[in-house]
Amino acid sequence: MEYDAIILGGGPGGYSTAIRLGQNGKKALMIEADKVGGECLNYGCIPSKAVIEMADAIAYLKEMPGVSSSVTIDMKKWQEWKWGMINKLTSGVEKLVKSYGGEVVMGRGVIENSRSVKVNNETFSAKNIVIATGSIPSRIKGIDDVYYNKNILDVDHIPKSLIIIGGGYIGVELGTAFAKLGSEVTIIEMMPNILPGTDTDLSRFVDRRMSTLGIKVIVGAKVDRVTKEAGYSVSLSDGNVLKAELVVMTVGRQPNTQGFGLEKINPEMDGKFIKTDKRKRTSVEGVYAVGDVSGQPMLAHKAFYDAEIAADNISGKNAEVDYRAMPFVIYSDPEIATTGIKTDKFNNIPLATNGRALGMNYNQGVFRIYVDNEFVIKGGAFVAPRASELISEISLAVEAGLTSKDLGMTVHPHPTLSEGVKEAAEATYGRSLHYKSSR
Amino acid sequence: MPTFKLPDIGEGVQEGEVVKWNVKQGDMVHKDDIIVEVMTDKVTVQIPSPFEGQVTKLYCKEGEITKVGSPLLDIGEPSVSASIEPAPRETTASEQIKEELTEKSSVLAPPGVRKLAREKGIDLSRVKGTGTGGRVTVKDVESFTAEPKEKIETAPVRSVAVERRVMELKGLRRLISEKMTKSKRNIPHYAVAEEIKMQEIMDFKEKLKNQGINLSYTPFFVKAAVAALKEYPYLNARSLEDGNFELLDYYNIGIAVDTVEGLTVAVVKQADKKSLTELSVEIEELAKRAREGKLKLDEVKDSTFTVTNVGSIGGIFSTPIINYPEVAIMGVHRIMDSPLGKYMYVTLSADHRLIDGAMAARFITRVKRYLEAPATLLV
Repeated sequence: MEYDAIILGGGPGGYSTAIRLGQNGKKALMIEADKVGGECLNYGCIPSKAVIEMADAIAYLKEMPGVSSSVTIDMKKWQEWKWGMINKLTSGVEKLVKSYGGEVVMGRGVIENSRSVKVNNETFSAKNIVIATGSIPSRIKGIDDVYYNKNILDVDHIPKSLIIIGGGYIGVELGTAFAKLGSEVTIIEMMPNILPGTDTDLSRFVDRRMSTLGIKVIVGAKVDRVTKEAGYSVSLSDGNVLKAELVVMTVGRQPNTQGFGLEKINPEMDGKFIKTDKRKRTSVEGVYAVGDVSGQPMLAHKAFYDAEIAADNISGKNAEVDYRAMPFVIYSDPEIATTGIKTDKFNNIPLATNGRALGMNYNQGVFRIYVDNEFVIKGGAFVAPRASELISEISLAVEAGLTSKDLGMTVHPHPTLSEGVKEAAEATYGRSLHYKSSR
Repeated sequence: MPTFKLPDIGEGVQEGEVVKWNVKQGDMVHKDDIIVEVMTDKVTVQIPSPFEGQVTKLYCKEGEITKVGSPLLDIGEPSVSASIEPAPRETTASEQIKEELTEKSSVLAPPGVRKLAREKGIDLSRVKGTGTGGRVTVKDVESFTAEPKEKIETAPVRSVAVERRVMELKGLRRLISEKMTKSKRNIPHYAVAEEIKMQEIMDFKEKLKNQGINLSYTPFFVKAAVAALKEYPYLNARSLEDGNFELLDYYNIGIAVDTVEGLTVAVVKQADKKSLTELSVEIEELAKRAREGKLKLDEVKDSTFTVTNVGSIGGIFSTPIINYPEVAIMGVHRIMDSPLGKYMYVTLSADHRLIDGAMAARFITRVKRYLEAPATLLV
């Protein structure tokens, strides 16, 4: 039989394309080489947040004044729980795909031409192909025998010491979590500051927090060599040698374009990414690409968005990528969440003015809403616990074209962290209730 | 004080109608700001300001026709009052904050509304928002589709209380009026019709689709018309002012497009030299830009024969008016079911001064033969 679409990859981009196609009454075949759910559900977003959650809970009690507690961690048991949790999630996703009439084949799919894919020695054909092969961790040439996100999230014990190469969001998230779990953590970053690409007046809160957690951050440093012999030695180009039980490489991710026959159809590329238009079509007729492999930003929620666009176009509708606010979250301590674009018109609301945050023993962070000259909200940036859960109010405001007055005059429950959002909205027009700028 | 005159827009355009002023007396304009929209032969041209300064006088009102070289407006030195900063707005933004430009022009419309508009092919910037702060709502988009917001209702969709009034024909409406009157007044029209069996062409389309080639019907109609025109060259001609006719040796096919402003004919040049796929791509692109009002002058001129597809809207049969000074126009209609299969009516209106009924009938028979055996269009 001929499918409406064959989807290469069962991660967030792939499985959501399959579900959306099913919802549109189309027949989809999803091919996954490893595990349904992809990097995100198995080795990335989901398990890393699970580690972070555990680490936060432990640190929370440990740092609460007047509380003393001793905690022991059995990582083997925890890993069992974690995989049980992930399997529930991924099997749920697979069931969902199938419930819409989608089929799932496990194996490595290889494109034969723009209308057929071979997997496990069987050739399937379809009107369309959707490439959703995601991304893989970037490597440094010559440094091979190290851990990546997948391995460190699967450890059976908390390492005594840990060197993280790369101070981007993955390195910061993992480093912070393992420091809270008791590892001695060193982060090595090539750029002059951690979280390159993030405003330093946002990342400084995280910087400071990492320092109080005892994380050693070495910036502007280049790694020359990593050797493994009863633990790891990391040689920096300035001659220093650092030793640790484990080394994790988190120097970014790159699109996965190898090993599935992409060269057979040879679509136009955009750097390392597959080039797509606003409808997520590649230069090859009938071939779409979604998610990480199709361009920045490499985020699961962007893949979900892409998937809906691609599925709609395959279903004969005219759909285009059209978002005005793409959220970006770093699960650091405190979390950093941004969305939309930055303008010069904003006022900072310090986290320390938020009663709920203080009650949580948090006082480092900031709320910001960016508006234009007509007070239409264009974006926002929060550094706060649960900033990830707060940012969508701003995305909605940007998408809907709300003004800061619309947000400021919307009742927010007290006491909540979300009041920070309201105060930041009010601050854009000088009417913040709980904070008066000293300027 | 510089006076800005209607520039030569090219293509031999002598005059244009001022359809919209974007400035009024007293406004400050910057160089390259769009100051006025002028409609020439079915194309609206946006004219940018060549100078910076204050508008001191407008020479014509909206709806007036002005000739190339006649004054449009005076732009003077900025007056003192105009150079004063606008009243400061309520803001606590710190002193370091500089004015910044964000996409102010972006339409206030939430994602669901934007998606709907895209699916309906509606340019949101043309929809008047009735929501808070001018926000465009789903209802706005839906009613925009149902009835163009223009005062001119070519086809009232539902019975609304009609206000008795005199309707001044402006812009495209006026052009359509003039052209149609000229055509009907000068050309002794008649029409012939033929029934086309559509199964073959539908199967053919499906086969192409399975090869990844998605075509609409229009390129087939154009291709069939061109093939028949080559056999009956009298139909690819135009009437001259002196009462004679000029037979043409090229095939530029006009495609009638229904736009919010009214009927527009976009022209596929050298249609005989293009493949079905090329025709399809070009027609789609032209129609899209026609609906957006962005056709270039060159793209609405010099058609030699016109095809009007009525079927996509409704109606099983029509006798179209010839696109003056052409001598014939072909109407295609809705595909219908009968016990004998899918079929469609094709009509041809022709100029009897040049073309007798027998020739028109022969022509339309050829078109029928091509459409019923679409593979013949490829040889």
